[in-house]
Amino acid sequence: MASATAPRDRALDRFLASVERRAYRMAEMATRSHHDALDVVQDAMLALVTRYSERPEAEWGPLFHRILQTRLLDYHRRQKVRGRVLSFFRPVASDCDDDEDMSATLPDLHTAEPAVSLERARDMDTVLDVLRRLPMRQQQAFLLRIWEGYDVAHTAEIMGCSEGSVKTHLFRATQALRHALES
Amino acid sequence: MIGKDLEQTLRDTLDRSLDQIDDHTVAALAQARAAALTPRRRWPVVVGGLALAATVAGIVATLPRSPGVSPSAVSAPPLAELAWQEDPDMLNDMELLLVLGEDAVGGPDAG
Repeated sequence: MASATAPRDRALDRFLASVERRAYRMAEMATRSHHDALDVVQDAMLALVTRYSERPEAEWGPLFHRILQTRLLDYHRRQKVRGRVLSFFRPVASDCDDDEDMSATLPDLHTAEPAVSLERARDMDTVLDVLRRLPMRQQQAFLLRIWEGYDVAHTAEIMGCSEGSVKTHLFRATQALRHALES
Repeated sequence: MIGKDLEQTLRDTLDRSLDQIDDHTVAALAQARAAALTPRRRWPVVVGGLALAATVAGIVATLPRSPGVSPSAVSAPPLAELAWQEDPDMLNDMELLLVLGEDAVGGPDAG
């Protein structure tokens, strides 16, 4: 039995090692907390190993991201509930991040200077800061589509929503990003 | 939606941000990975332990019993037998207690 699981364990180890830093960066942007990000990533790793290790290796990537994104969404929901309890008077956004639109507070698109935005897009702190400020679903859609390179169908599957929602989230995310980088 | 150049630049910037993750976090991630894989690695050990325990139990159960010792020889005597075994000291003590009890109830002035 040990001989049968050893190659699988090594493959799992290799897979997790290949995704753990990206997963941490995603979780850190979503939670804005080092410790919470580590907890979420470890939780996602454990869930993949215990539940899906017998699945084909090709499925591990989407499965891991689905687990990770679900954990991050749960984290956000818990934070919102905690926020409601702690603050009676502070307005709290609804569970659906569609209502949060950062672009509404940003400058007009017509003042855009592509060269400037491209230059700012190279600045790591600026990019990370802008991404951290994006609403959760927009952040997920952007990172999965643009950074991880999943197509719309896979992104929708990972996020547990329709392809139309992915397109909407991604559109808003890229608009907000462009506005933020050009402002 | 978003320029290809900008898209690629953002991707590169995010990739670059991975190199900025500090050593402490990298070590914590490696530890988390090892912890996630641990239950899986323990599984063959658990199965091996159970197999060993079953083997030992089987050997113990099939061992031939010693013919000289029967179960009744080492078992305790029945309680009914014990009830008839008298201890003289205990009887004396009980008698003394009864006398003292009568004195306490009746008393020297009762008669």
